[in-house]
Amino acid sequence: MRHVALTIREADLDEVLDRLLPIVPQGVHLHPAVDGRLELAVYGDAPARAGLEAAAGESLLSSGEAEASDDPDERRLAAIGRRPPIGGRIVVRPEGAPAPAPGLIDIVINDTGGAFGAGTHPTTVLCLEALLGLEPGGAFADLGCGTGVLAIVAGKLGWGPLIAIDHEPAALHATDANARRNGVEVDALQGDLAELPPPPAPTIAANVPLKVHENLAAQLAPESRVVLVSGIVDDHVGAVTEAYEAAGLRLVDTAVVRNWAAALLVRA
Amino acid sequence: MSSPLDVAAANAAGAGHGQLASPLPDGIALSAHKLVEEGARAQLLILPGVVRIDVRPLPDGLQVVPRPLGGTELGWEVDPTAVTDYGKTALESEMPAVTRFRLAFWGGSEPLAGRLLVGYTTDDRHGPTHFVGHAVIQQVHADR
Repeated sequence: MRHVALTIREADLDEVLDRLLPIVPQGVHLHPAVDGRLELAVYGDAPARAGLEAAAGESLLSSGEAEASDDPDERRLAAIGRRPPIGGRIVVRPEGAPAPAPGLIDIVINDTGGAFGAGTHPTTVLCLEALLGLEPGGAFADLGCGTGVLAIVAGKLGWGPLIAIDHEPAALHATDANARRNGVEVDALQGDLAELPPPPAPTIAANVPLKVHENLAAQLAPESRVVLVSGIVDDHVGAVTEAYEAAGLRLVDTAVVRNWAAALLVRA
Repeated sequence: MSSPLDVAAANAAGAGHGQLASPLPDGIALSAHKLVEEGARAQLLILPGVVRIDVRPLPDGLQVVPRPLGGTELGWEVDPTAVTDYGKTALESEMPAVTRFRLAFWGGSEPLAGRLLVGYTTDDRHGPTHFVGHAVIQQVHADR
């Protein structure tokens, strides 16, 4: 299968897509931007390379054409191998994607079972970046664990014991399987976090919806001193922060990607 | 000035994407369907000079991107009652999953309001996602 790659200025993406998407019915693959440069990949027989370059216009920095696998799964795995490490240190990948360079934290998430947490969503990425900035140690609770990726990375960074809670059985199966695959021991428990109190872990990551945060904040144990909050859009940061501040925490950092937000709160 | 609710223009702009457009009282209906590979961003619906609706299936979510066109201002919100359990395959979820959006447009020749429905399903964890899009966009009347 033909593959045309166009490297453009990241800041020009919307304008380039305005010209490109109408002439590429199958769509355009977007690879993560590096240093303000973004690669767009077009697979298949649609417009000639010259037409694609013309659509990119003055935003085009470079282009190339090559053969790619006809198998979309092979193309998917190859693309995953080109993602920059999260926070410069963590690679989350499915089995079959290229292994990262030595020295990076390599997390293989193979079993999702439909559970959230393949490592690509902004909320997951924001949480992982935030974990890299914390001093590891003591018990860690991953609330709304999905595939267990946050607990697994926490274990690799030095937290323990690790607790993971989700209301979906598929998430618990996924967390168990992924923890074993990555050589980390995680105690995965089923629970409705919209009603139950959070475990009294010193460090908590809660990648959950707004209403779940309201319950967690209301029942937060005094032993919990660091709470990493995500799963919310930026419009909800204020409400979530207020809820945790009422529990004695203070906001120390927030980050937003594509309207998804994460906030770090510590006990005052 | 041509109307932003021009059916012929919508049919021409969406022809390469299988889009159908038809007139409504004070408005227009658009529909299209498309298979999109994981990670690809593709045009699903377009109303020239007003909005393009893009979809992008991702491992951990579904991006639906209303892109305002031609200087139009856009406001939109997700209907929270819609089913949005993206990531589930046909074996794990009632299908098709559905998201719904409310749209508002201003700053162009006339204010418009719209409803958008995107249905989607996939039979394989990372296989292509089958999308169906349907939008109704109408003039805004202060007395309604």
